[in-house]
Amino acid sequence: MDENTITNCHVNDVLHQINQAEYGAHYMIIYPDLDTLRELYSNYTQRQIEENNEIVLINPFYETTDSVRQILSEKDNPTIDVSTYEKDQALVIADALEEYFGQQPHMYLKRSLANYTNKGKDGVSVLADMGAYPHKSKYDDLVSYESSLPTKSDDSIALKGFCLYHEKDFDKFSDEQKQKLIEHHGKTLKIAEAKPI
Amino acid sequence: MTSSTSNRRSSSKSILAVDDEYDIVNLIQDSLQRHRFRVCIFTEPSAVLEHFISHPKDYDIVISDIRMPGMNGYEFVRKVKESNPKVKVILMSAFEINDREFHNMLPDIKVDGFLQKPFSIQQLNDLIGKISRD
Repeated sequence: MDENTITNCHVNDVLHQINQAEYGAHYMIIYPDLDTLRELYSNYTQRQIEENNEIVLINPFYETTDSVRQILSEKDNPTIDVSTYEKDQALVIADALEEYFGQQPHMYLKRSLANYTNKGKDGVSVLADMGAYPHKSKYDDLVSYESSLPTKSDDSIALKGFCLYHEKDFDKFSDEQKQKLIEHHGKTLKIAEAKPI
Repeated sequence: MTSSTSNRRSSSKSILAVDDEYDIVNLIQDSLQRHRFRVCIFTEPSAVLEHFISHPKDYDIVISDIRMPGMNGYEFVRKVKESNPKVKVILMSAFEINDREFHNMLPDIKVDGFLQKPFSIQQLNDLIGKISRD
């Protein structure tokens, strides 16, 4: 697959691809709406914590951290024990605005990376909504930040990073900015909007 | 869904509401219709802005979420006020409204009210009633 293009996928295909991602992965995921994003993160989180023994860090922007907790708690078959996971720090949920523009930027990521071995975990997965940057009209800053990250990081750091872009935010970037964003991710996966039957 | 309009009584106040979550604007429409307001709802800020610019005098009150993809509520309200400075505006958010961010984004714009989500129908009605009387 050409790594400098956008791949259009059903949410289940994106889920499959990120489940298969190895440590060092840095993917961009463009989502059409909040319901689709919720389906993605709720399925991904359960599997990574339960089956792959990872810490999962979720940075939502268009919903509150409590909303994410509720969505995860409502998931059934299998269920997600949100409060236990949060207590064990296997699950960390922090608002993206605070994580990227708060008094201590990237605090939750740094803490998760510093802690995962002590917690007996194999690594860290990050699902971060980048919406805080367009919200603040910091388009160039986001391109610079993404460009500063490798398309695939050193796999000695057990980190998988999935940058989440709402489709309407992504559309606001210039063609040149979009291309730079795509080039600085190992894969760019665009989730197709579900069509009513 | 992009928009939905209710025209129950032409003499009543007209309200335009936008939130990227349909459930929120649907609740606003349901509750305000019962109080005989005319309510038009949207889930896409760019679509509602286009609609408002085409009909700037048709609305008395505009209600907008703050965190919306594509165009945030501050930008939307600024453009609404450029089109009709007399329209009253209410901002709503599920997040704590940061005073510094608010004043940076809307330094010269008067916002007539804030709604902290989740809000009750009573809170919504009280605020709309107060702003309608002012």
